[in-house]
Amino acid sequence: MVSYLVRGEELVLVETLRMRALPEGSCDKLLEFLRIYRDAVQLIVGEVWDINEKLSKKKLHRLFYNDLVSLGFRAHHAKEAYVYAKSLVDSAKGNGGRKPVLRKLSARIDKYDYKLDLCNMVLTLKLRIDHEVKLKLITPKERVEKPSKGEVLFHLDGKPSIGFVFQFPTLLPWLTVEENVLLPLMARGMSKKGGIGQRL
Amino acid sequence: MGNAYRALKIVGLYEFRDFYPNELSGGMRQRVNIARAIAVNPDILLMDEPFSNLDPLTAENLRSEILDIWLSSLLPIKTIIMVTTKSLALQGGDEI
Repeated sequence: MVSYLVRGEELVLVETLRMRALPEGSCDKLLEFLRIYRDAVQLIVGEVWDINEKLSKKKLHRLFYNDLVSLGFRAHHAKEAYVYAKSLVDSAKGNGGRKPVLRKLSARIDKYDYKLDLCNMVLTLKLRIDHEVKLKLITPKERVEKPSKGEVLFHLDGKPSIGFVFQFPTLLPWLTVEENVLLPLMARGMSKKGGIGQRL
Repeated sequence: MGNAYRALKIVGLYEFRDFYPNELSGGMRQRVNIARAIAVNPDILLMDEPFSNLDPLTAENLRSEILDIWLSSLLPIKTIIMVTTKSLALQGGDEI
């Protein structure tokens, strides 16, 4: 996949390779990890839901870190788990919704918790303490292709006056929600700082 | 507040700003799409079947949210042009 981003004043070419990966051997350990991770997040959601005061990251850490580590989670997993749980609760309460129920099996793996060996096409994930799983990367047929020719045109002149919502989500998977929303602003020449403003 | 944060607040995803798209549900992803479209403070908002990918409940919620955004004077949007095949989605429209 090839895309163009605006960083500062200039266009930057970004190439991304999306790969599929299969566990070597059985998927049991990976599935077990994902289930425990989801259930842990669900438990925290339940507890945070009943707390009506404002929770700082420090406080979240004090409340949940030790429990998560005793479940065998590595430090970064523990942090991601309580931050994720709090975001879910904040969003649900903000929209006047009900207590969130997690169904998806997904976990964010911190960069300290994986090892990518491109020579042998192996991705090693460190799951819980002493648990590792090796994934074999499968090279997709659609390799990164460089454009042979062509140009990218941005209509940057004048006031931006049209917003477009497509039928299917067209978010870039390797950018965060915030970066995705910033994309059209930066393409229109606004600095990242100007687009974001101040963190609240 | 910057445009991006304001847009994320309006669609109720400010807390999820550091998440990646595949960590969000379908409805939330479409909300981010809407945030991205309104972040540029457009006069006109074009929507190509924005709810066709969502379950009916999420679609209905999102539809009324967009109506709220339009009716409130939070944004300078003057016109929303929407393509849809569902008659329910037409509620609130001035012209069909």
